Amino acid sequence: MRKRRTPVFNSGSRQALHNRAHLGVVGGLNENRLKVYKGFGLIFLIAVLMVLPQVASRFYVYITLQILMLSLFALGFNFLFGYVGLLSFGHAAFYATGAYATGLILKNASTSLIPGVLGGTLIATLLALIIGFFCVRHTDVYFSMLTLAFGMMIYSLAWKWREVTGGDDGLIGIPRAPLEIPGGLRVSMRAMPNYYYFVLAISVLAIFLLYTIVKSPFGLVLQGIRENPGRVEFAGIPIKRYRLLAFVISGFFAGLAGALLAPLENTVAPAVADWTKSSEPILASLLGGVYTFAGPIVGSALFILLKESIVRRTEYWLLVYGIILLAILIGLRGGIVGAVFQRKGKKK
Amino acid sequence: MTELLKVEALKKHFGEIYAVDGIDLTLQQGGFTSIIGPNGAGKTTFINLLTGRLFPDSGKIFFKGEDITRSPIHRRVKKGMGRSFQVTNILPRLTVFENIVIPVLSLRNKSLDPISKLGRLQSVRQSAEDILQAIGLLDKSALPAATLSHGDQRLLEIGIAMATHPTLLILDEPTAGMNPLERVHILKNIKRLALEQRTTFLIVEHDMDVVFSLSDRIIVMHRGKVLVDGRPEEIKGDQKVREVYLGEALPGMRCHGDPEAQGPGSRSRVPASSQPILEVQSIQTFYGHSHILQGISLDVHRGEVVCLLGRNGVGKTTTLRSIMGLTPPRSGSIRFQGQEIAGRKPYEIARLGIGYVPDDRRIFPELTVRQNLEMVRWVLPSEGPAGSSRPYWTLSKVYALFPKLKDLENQKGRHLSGGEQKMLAIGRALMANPDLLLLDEPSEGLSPLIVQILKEAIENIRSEGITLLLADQNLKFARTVADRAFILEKGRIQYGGSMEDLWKEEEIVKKYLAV
Amino acid sequence: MKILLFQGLVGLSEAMYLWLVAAGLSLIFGVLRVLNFAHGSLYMLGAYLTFYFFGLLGGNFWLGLVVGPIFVAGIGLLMERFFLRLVYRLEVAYQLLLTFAFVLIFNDLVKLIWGPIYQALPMPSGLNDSIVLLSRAYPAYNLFIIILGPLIALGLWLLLEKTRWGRLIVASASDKEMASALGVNVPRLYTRVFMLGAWLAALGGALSIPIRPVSPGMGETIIIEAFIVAVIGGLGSLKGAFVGAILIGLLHAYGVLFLPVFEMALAFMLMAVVLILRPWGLFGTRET
Repeated sequence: MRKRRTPVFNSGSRQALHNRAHLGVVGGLNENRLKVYKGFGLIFLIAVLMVLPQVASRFYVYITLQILMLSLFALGFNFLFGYVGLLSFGHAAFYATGAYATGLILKNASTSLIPGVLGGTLIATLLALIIGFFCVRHTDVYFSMLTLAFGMMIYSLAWKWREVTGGDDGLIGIPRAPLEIPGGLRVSMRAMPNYYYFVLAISVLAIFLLYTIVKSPFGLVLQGIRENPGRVEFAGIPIKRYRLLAFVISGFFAGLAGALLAPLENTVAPAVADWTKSSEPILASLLGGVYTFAGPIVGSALFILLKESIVRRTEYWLLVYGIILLAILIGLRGGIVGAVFQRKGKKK
Repeated sequence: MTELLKVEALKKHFGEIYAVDGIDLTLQQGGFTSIIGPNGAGKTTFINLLTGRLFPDSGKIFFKGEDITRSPIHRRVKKGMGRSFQVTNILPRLTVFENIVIPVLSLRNKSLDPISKLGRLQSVRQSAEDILQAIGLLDKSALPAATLSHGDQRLLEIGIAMATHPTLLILDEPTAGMNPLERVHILKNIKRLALEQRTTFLIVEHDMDVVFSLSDRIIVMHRGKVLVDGRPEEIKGDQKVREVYLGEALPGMRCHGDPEAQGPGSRSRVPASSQPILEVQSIQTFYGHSHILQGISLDVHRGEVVCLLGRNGVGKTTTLRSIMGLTPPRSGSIRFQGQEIAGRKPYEIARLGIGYVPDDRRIFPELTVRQNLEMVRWVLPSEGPAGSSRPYWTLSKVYALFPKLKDLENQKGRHLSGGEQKMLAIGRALMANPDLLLLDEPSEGLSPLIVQILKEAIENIRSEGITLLLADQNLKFARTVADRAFILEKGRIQYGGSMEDLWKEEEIVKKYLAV
Repeated sequence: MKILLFQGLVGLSEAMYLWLVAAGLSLIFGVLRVLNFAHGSLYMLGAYLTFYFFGLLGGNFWLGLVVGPIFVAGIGLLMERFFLRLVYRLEVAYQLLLTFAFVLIFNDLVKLIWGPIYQALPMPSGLNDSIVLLSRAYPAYNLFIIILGPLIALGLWLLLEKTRWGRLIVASASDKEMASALGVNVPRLYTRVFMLGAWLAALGGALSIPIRPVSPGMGETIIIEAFIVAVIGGLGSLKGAFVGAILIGLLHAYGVLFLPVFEMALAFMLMAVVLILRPWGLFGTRET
């Protein structure tokens, strides 16, 4: 796993140059060499991940699974925050919906893994469409508080709707259904390594999909909306519609992460909808860097590993993370970050 | 030639003020049209109505024959309207290239494409590169927009507006905050763009050099209406335009040439002490990247009334705000009564003895007249430091200066008329017992009667021993109250001297103050 | 009919807690232009610290009520002066994240010091009877709250309308630049307003101790509700917060009677309607 410390909030000129140079006219040897390094790094990483269950203990496989799922969750969140500029405090709503929906499908409707996961993800995405419709009409403070409120509503629903969600007992006995590939192949997912490979494959695909979106024209326009919505509107773009689309995509990834959780743990409890769960992708993204694509992934790794080591010493990991967050925010508010986060000064 | 833009009886009001008060206009395709006019003429509101940021109360706007009066912004853009902003509105964290690509994508209806690799879209790249070439920023494509110089950012601003290939391009103060070199550079590029792209330009500007070198048609706005509309040569000589910029002759004021007409020069003038009460040296003030003050130096002596003159947008208000600490200068020095005050907080500067009356009055709407006046007393010590020559202002003294305020004593600030608010703002600043009073555009927007009251008030204040630094556009008003004047343009002092001397300098007046 | 009236009283007393928290939130937003996400945590801290002082000071609820919120005002001082002040010029997301960090910290801090389980307090003596109202037993404490709430509202109104400091707050809220140019030490004023807001929230928390169990989760629910109240009333308007709190309090009380399943969604839907029809709230000002 990459443990390099990507600076937080780095959108500084250096990074922009590297990431965007292939679009511009400034080409050159440097840029190509970097791409080669990146390519090799990625291949190496994937190789390590694939070999992992053979060489490491079950515990590390489990940790890596958690990192993969949080990465998807955080990537979803940060698509909205880092790329579109909308800060959601209630993303656990989609995570939880993905988890519960998948759990329900696998318990009651399907004996195959993919329909379960897919179904759960799609239901979460549908929820994102509904919630997003209300939220994207507002920005800044109102948006953030609305997402928080919706998140709490879903949490409350998870608690109260006993008949469906099992209340505070949660949904138990979710089978880790076998993977059925059309053509007759049936692969059992009981063994952890098998499920691990499934999640790895799905994650790689999903991350690749998101990467494509981010690097596409649509992705660029979204960033423009983040930078200056008025200006982009003056370029002819209906910004509310675009924000809603981004919200839905964001919900898709969060839902997928939750959907993958259900078969792994075999239970889903209301805690997956809690506001502390919503804070995890926020912390992970901030740790790894909100303005780079890989930031949330790196941050997720950091988050999980850090949490593991904290939880061994104290159960108050939120306190530690709160302090870390405070330190990050205060420490970096000047310099690049200050310039990056500054309010636009108005002339009159 | 088909009409590109047609405006019929357009009106827009905010509260009781008619920002746009019945405009009829027709624009043909091609050429450069400039809109000019003094402060408060309604230019920005008009532009906002055209581009869709605001909807009018009545009237119609036709663009390419279609009624767009209430169309949303993005639809007008798709029809062929483009706009650049007075305040630089680029996408700071994206590269220059990306700034241009986004509107191009919108033009090509490719903005929803979630699959293609941006680098592969050849035609989009080509379009963007063409535009970058046209505005001269091609070699800076890969730089984040925020790192560009101000002039380049303004160019990028125009580039973004051009990238949707508008038929009508509206530029709002394109040269705002630019230094002379940048100004020349951008003019060259705009001229070239006009030729190459066959775009129709509509420009709002204050810089007369820019206006006269670019335009083939000039529209002068005043108080929400079109005053004069014609070719540059016609505008230059027009008497009405001159009056609007220099100020109307006010009743009770003697005209130029009248042997009895004098400024305060004929009265017993308080001898200027040798040590200036205020010394401003080479201050540079920015709004973000916008370089508004490019090295302002001036001095004010105790007992004087000095006026900053110049057209709107040159930096008069910014100079006063820099002195007051509201927009601190990035470099340079400001010494008040020997003490360095540049960089100090405004409330500290207020305590040292400077009072400030902004051009938009800014009285506290929820406080009564009396509370507006008294609040200063609650925070500032009533006596100045020992040895200070500060006169002692009380409520009754302020009421003596502005009797109308006494009648309105218990009215909340927001119920006052513009003129009454102005009086209140001055009274409020006086309650701080300042040694130096900064007055921004005291005569603006006031009826002649109130201006007269103001003039007398200034005389009274002055006879109490308070030094005054005014900023005003209205030369005629300034002449009746000020001893000396400094003219600002393009971020620098272009002239400094006695009011009497300035009045005789026709050429200078025409160049910097009129049109 | 009697049931309706009675339920109305229940709603009113709940409204008063909401009012205290929403008032502080709205005040801070109106003057400092910052939404204090940690406001619910300040409410929680008010409850916990009062509980603590109550125990420390020999079981006197009233004394704890005085000391606790003042202590939290002190915490507010530290928050504003050393952290929030640094980020006023930055984007809203930044400020939200900063106050969010405090939510995380306070939440666990409380668990660390007092443990995660619910705490409960007996009613303060003198108010632990029930009064027979409308032929039902109504807790005297709730009646006390219903009387106290409007008193505090009156006090705040007097503060802002009639005192010098209050007028300076109103002036600075409408135009902080001009206030500064007239000699008002705006940063110091901001700190004090934040402390006042924190005190109000803490008072709400302290007063809630006899009625509800004190738990680490109490901050989260109240911040949402306080936000809803503040939005409905108009962010920045204390009058609006008062009216909004009563509306929501009554909505909850009657909602529980008639539509128990939807109860939580009701307040939410009201806010959604307000945001669509009149986004600046019932008593807010239309700021573009």
